[in-house]
Amino acid sequence: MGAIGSENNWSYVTAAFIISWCVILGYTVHVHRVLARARKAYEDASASRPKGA
Amino acid sequence: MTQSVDTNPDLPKPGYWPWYGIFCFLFLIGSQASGLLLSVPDRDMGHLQKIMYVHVPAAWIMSLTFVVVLYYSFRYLWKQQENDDLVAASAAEVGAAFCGLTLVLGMIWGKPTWGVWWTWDARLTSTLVLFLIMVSYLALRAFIDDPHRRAQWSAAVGILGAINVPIVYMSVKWWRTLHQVQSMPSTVDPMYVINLRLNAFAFLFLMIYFIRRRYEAARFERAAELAVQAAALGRR
Amino acid sequence: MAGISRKQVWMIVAGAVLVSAFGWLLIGGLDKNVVFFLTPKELLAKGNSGYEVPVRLGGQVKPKSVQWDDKALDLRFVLTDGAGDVSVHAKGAPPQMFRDGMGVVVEGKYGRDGVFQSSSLMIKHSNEYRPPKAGEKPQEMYKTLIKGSGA
Repeated sequence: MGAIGSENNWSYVTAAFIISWCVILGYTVHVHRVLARARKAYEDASASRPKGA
Repeated sequence: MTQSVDTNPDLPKPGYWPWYGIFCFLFLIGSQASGLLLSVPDRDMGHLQKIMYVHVPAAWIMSLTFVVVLYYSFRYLWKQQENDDLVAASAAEVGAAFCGLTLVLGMIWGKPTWGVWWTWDARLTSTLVLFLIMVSYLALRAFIDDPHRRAQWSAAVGILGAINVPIVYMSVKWWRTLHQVQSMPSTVDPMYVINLRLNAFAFLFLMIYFIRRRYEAARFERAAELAVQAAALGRR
Repeated sequence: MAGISRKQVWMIVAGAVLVSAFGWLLIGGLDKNVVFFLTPKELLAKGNSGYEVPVRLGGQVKPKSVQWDDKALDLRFVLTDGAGDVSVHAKGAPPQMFRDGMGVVVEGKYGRDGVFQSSSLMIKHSNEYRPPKAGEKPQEMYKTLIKGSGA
């Protein structure tokens, strides 16, 4: 018969919502990590400038 | 030394954006809960109708990000301002994420309703093409080092990709597809419409947050590159 | 650093327009293949060339035409577009939204005996979403049609 019938529907719905949250949370973490890294890189780079000059 | 970060008037500041981010997530939790708990099963689909509340907003917001990419790509070509390129790139990254999500959610919805995970009809194929163009946009940026060349090529690919958005949208009307044509408020029960709009706004708010913070990061990345170059020149 | 001239910018714009025009042509040329399925009327109009070739056929399940054998998992129904009817034979249980009047796309071959042998059955959902009316349970149709019959 295969996976047919209303009793299996919640598993598809659950999967869809969990994947959505994984992507949204995952992207949030990604953006914040990139942002923190970029700020750090900028601070390091601009801090080294006066020493070099 | 580090006060140079704060005193540089050009670089974007976090401002109230972190608070806005918290608001986005609270709104998302509310609208998702409403969609999952307050929405009754559909006549044919049963609970599967609820996948609409993530698949359709993801598709709409994905299209919207590519409008942003299109606008800022043209603006870059017109005015040659690097910041426009960085906005376009930020929007493209967010758009690629939502586009991938749209495809995966469509597959999860397709299996129990249509009976297949995937089929090569015009809507599904054109959406996949859009996703691949946007992924190549991001790959292209990683391969070109010179910022101006990178921006020019990105703008070209970004415009090319965004041209696909109306094709994806109209595909169900232009061609005979398995994917149904767009629902309208008249074909959808008002309760479903309300929940769909709630979740669409939740995704819209998130999109704005994501693009803004990604742009902030991109500006700092560029500023760091320039500072390193300046330091290297200063040492010489 | 002054590597970018206005000329190059416009070359890129022109290139983008060219490539997109090419894309449009390509999709336009694919028009025939982009028709995802034939309707019963179109299949019947093909006459002899419509038999025994792999094709997708789409239409609606003609009401009261469904015969389901749940022991043999054998499904027979008539697919209609209002202008033409084609008998379809499929193996296995259809997707849960299968019912009278539902849009369906079948893959397979149209036999010379006038029966379309389907190897795969897909539901083509409309753009309508409604909760069940009072007293009607979701998917009741499927249960009476597929699950309930013979049980």
